[in-house]
Amino acid sequence: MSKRAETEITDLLLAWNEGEPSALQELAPLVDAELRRLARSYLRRERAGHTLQTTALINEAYVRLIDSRRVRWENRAHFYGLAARVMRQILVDFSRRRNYQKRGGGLHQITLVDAIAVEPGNDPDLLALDEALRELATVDQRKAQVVEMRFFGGLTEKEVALALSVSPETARRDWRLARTWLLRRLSQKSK
Amino acid sequence: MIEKERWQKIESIYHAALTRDLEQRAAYLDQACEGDTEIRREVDSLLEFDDKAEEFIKTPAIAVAARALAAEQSQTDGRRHLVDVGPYHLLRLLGQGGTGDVYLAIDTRLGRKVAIKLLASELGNDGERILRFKQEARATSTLNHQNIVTIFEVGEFESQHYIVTEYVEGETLRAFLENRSGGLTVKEALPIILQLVDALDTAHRAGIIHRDIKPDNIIIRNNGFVKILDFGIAKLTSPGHTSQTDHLTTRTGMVMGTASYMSPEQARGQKVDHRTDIFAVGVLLYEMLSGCKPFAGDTWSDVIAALLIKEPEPLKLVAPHVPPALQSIVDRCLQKLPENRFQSAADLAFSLRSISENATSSAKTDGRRAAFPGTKVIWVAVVVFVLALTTILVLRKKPGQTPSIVDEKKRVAVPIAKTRLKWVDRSGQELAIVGEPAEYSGPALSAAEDRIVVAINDPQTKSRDLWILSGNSKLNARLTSEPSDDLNPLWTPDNRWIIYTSERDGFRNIYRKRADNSGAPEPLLQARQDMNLEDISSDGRMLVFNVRNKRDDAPSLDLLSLIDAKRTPLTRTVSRAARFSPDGRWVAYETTNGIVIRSARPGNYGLSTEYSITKSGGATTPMWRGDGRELFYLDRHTLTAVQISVDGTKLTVSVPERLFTANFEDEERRNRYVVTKDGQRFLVIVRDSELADARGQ
Repeated sequence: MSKRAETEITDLLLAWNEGEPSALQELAPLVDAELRRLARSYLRRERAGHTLQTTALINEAYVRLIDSRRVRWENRAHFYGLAARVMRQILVDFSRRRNYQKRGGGLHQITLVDAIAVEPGNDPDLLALDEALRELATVDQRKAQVVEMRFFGGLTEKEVALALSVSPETARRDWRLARTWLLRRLSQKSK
Repeated sequence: MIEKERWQKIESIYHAALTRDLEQRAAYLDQACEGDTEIRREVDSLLEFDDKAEEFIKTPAIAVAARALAAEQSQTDGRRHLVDVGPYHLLRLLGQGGTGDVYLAIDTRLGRKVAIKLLASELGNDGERILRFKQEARATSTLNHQNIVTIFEVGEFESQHYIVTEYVEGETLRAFLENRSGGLTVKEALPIILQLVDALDTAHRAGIIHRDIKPDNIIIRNNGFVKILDFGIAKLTSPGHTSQTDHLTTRTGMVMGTASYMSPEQARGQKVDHRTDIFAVGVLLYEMLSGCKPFAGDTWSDVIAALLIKEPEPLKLVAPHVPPALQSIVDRCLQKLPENRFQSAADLAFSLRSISENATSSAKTDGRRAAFPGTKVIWVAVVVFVLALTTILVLRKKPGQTPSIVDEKKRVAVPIAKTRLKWVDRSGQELAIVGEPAEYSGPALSAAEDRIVVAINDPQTKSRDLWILSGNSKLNARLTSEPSDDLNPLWTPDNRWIIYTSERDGFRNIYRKRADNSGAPEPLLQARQDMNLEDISSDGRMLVFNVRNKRDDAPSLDLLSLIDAKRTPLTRTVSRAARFSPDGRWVAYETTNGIVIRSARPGNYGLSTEYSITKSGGATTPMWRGDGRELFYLDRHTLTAVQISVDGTKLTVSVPERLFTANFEDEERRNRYVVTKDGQRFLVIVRDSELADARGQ
């Protein structure tokens, strides 16, 4: 992605924050492009039997999408929360669209070709998780925010603590309980 | 207690419980919950999930979504699962190495085949190293030596660094040596090494060191011509920049492999010069001549220790056939101190040439040596060696004859022949015999019906290979020689390709290879599931193949469009032995209820209508006449024909006519015959006894 695109994303986020709703529609394709770029590297590397340098690649994607260095220090906390919320919305929309396409894919849902080493494995279903996260928010708003920032926004514990003005220890405990709560909720549902 | 307070209490008990050992937990919870069974139950149930949640949503959402997308893409497109890198369309994996994976690719701008190496991501993250590497690659690309693989481009696409080079078909020296355990003769080894050393001389003069000469980096083409890969790429992994232990933990196999060809100074992480390549040539020569490595060990450190301290086993003990002069050349290359080795590749080449001259002259006693004094003799010798090598390769790879029934070594006839391939007419009368007795299966005719492609079981490897037989002459060519099964061959309608089923991936997948025997097999459809090729439509656009249901292993049929790689199920029930009608509208196939036909365009007719051609089961292997008006099949061992007419969707089938009965192979064997377009001649595989003359039996 070009330098131009990187700054564009941050600008769009800031614009959205300042009440420009169309900014979100412009953001989605950029996230989409990052997703596809990541997916391609999964395909390339996993096919060759490589263990993926997951963290590096994902961090790269987030850095490209959310460049907090351009945001003034006192606005960062706010910016983090904002970026995470936008990412959540876009990624959940993305999953919803794909699920819809899969179901509407018609006559031949392909079950025969399983040519591939890439397997989603134990990855959670983003739609179900989004729903469970809404429920968590009714029980404990802050824990839901922690999950939004860490899981959807790709933020670190420190960044989350900063954004929510809590201690890193609290951020860590919130993350732990929230994950447990969500996993239990999803397990109950799938039964 | 209001809801919020309850939740806060649950939370604090939960975290406090986590700080306690399992044994103390119950006691703590009893005390902390103060008899509130609801709170206790809630905390218990959360604690139960705490362990499992450790990995849960650890991977960020964008990676989860990307992974789902990747899985989906590769699922919906079995054929083109490889992703393009810029203008390069990846075709298949050629090899994997420490610095990255190499793929065969098409440069879509020029339409030429290239090899593209995708650098491993952990190397791609080191900017300085990439820069150094690029500089070196650029320098190498200026070398222009016939034995050095040409570098076309060094680039980056979506953070993926890559190198594009000329694509060289052939086998690596590693594979070559593995097939010849026990080492090569001097005559075989010298032409290879001389080409290598010449190339190194050119590179060294340009200030470029290879650093990673090893059998995997040397390709021998079918004509004996040698090409060296990966010049300067070793710089990426050379020790000194990153700690060696780092490499050890992450890529043990890679370093192990390379350690055997390292020079002592390289292993120590010291500065290396061109003499490190000379050491590697010594290791290579030693291995080629003796069949074993000079410095060996079970672990990487053992190899390094041997390399630094030990002298190798003298060559005269492990390879007594090597003349003393050549032994001392190898010894000199393998000196621990660079200053004791040959000081240049040119010196080494000179010494090697004098050996090669002696080797020929002692082998030949025709006195021609006197007629060609000086360097000319040397070149003649090299040419002779190259020719000799070529012959060996050709003999090994393409015997040009059907498997012999005589074991070459023992000169004792081994009875391996099981079947014969024969031409017969509509009455079963023998017209001609094709080839030798062998274990034949699945014959197919070229469009002009002048050539046959057939699978023959090689009794030595116990696997089927494809052979092209020219009519009834003895001019035969072996098309495949993989140790795995290749079967069910077909010609594409333009006669340019043979498509077939290959088990080379461990599963039966669909491959193609050029009918003129040039080029390597290319995958058409790969999956982790067995698929058997059945037929190709006469316009060459559509394949039909059977797939084994994972649940009960029953075959059903799928179509694959070769235009857009779209795969569509044709049947859901047990069915096989499918053949397109000549106009491509219908597919005839075998079911448990006999032969049926169905539209080849499921979009138009759905999966609904199967038209029965035979009244009951037991009929197998349908084949169409060229005009589509007659369909043949086997009823047990009797070749039977029905006339077919289709008017719109109305289908009329005549009373079956029994043509002849023959000693066909058993019924589980498919494709036991093929028919010419005019419906007059049949190429049949029969057990090796006379055809039963039994028209209408």
